[in-house]
Amino acid sequence: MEYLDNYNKWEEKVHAFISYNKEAEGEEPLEASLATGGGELADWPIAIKDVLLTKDFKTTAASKILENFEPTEDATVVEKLRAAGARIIGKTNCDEFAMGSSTEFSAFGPTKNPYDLERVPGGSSGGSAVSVATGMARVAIGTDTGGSVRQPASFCGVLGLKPTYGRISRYGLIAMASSLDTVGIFSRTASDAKKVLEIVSGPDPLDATSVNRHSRENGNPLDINGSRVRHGMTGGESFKLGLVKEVAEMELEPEVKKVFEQTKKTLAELGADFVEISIPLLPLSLPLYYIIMSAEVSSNMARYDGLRFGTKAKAKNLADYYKEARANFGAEVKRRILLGTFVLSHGYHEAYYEKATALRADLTQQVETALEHCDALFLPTTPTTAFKIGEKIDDPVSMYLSDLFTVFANLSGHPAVSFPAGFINNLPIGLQLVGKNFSEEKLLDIISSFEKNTDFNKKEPA
Amino acid sequence: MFDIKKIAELSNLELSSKEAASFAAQFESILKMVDKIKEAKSEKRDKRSEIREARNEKREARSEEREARGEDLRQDVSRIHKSVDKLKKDYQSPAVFS
Repeated sequence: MEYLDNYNKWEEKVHAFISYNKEAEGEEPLEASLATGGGELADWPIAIKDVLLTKDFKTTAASKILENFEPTEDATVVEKLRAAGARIIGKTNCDEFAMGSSTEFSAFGPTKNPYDLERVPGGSSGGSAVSVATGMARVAIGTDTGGSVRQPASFCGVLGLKPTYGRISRYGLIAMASSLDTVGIFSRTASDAKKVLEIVSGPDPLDATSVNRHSRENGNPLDINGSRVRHGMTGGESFKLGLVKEVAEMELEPEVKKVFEQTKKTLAELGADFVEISIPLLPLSLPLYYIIMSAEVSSNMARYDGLRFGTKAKAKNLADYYKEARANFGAEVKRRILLGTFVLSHGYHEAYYEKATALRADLTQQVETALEHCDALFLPTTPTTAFKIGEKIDDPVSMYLSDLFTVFANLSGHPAVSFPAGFINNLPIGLQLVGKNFSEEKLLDIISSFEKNTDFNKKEPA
Repeated sequence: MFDIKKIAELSNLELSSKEAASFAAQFESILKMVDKIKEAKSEKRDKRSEIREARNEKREARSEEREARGEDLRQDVSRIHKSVDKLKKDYQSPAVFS
């Protein structure tokens, strides 16, 4: 009942959940747990971001539009977790439709950072990050479209994994930007993340983008050419980390730089060699991301018209009906729909969307080339620690800048993990490893050896 | 360049005047950020542009061809109509029941 005690202690202060089932951690085992004879995740309390469908909880996407939406089935990832015996304890708060970097854009109120209740937990999967940081859940599932797992993981002092695009099925995920969306994992330790990844990853006939490179079924994952990738590390091996020249040239908070340098030293002691590499288009990844993401958002959000999904309207003609039904969108969602419509509109499509997709292909190629010279890229997750609630809410560009180092991995599709690496004025800060496609296990092994030599992942908010 | 009312209309969104003013101001800085991609060059894009231009030229040529063919057809139809009218005038119904 330890997790339930933590819920009782923290939830009122931090508001991490939109819905919660107190009985999930009760004495009676859940049906799924019984059916599987316990399962590999037996009794693991797991929280799910409220953009993934669950048949026993409403799925609101933190939006007024879906306030009363009761799905009739589970998302594939939820189904796999239940089959392994996990207890789904509740649905976590997030930015509306996963659009935001602070969890302030939830229609149900903001989530707060447990390390400082006046600060944001990051976003959009802020509730999931907080549920793990406070010990309300052992593991939480989030989604990462531009950093929405890694950035809150960094702000809340937990590990956040964004897998290779296609490694985890997205069936049952409320889509935001389909070419960028991934389902991610929050945990305290690399070993927990590895275990959950093994269970939830793999091909899914219900998701055409899921990839048949599953470590469970095929042994080690296959690389893009179909040959076996070396699976994880056996310990004591040396590994090569790439330091991105363009990141070093960017402005960073001095304290973040300090943590970065300290971690670099620790990793060197653990066998890391460092090599400088260049990704010339990396400084442009943020504008590229906001063009492509918003274009896909404007398309995906078209279904919330009050007819297919969303609240019914009373207007008598169709044009007014749509407008009335869509009036319940929050400010950030409207902003992104407007930007997306603009970059796709006649006269601007070529200058923005088409150019961005071409540059995205170039960026992906540059990341691939950089990863030929090292096992993973090593860089900060965020340029700063958690900012104050309300500080950036009216300044979208300033808010978007907190995703500066995370969006490129979504554009290129590579896996990335943020891990807790230090504290600045009692606020946690994470650093990031970005690896080759399907090399999640290797990234987690590097982090696991870092965890054994440090105690940042063991610290808890007071 | 960025007409907030027009874009809102295309997006099926109704904005209050306060919202419209606030978004318009914010979009200035957002567009300033995304405009940075204009400085970058992409080889892939140049190739795509070439292909698109070639396609457009082909499309224009085809449409001119179709236009010319349409004009010919129109003239043929007009000639046929005239012939039919002439035939109608010249033709006398047989006076079977008179």
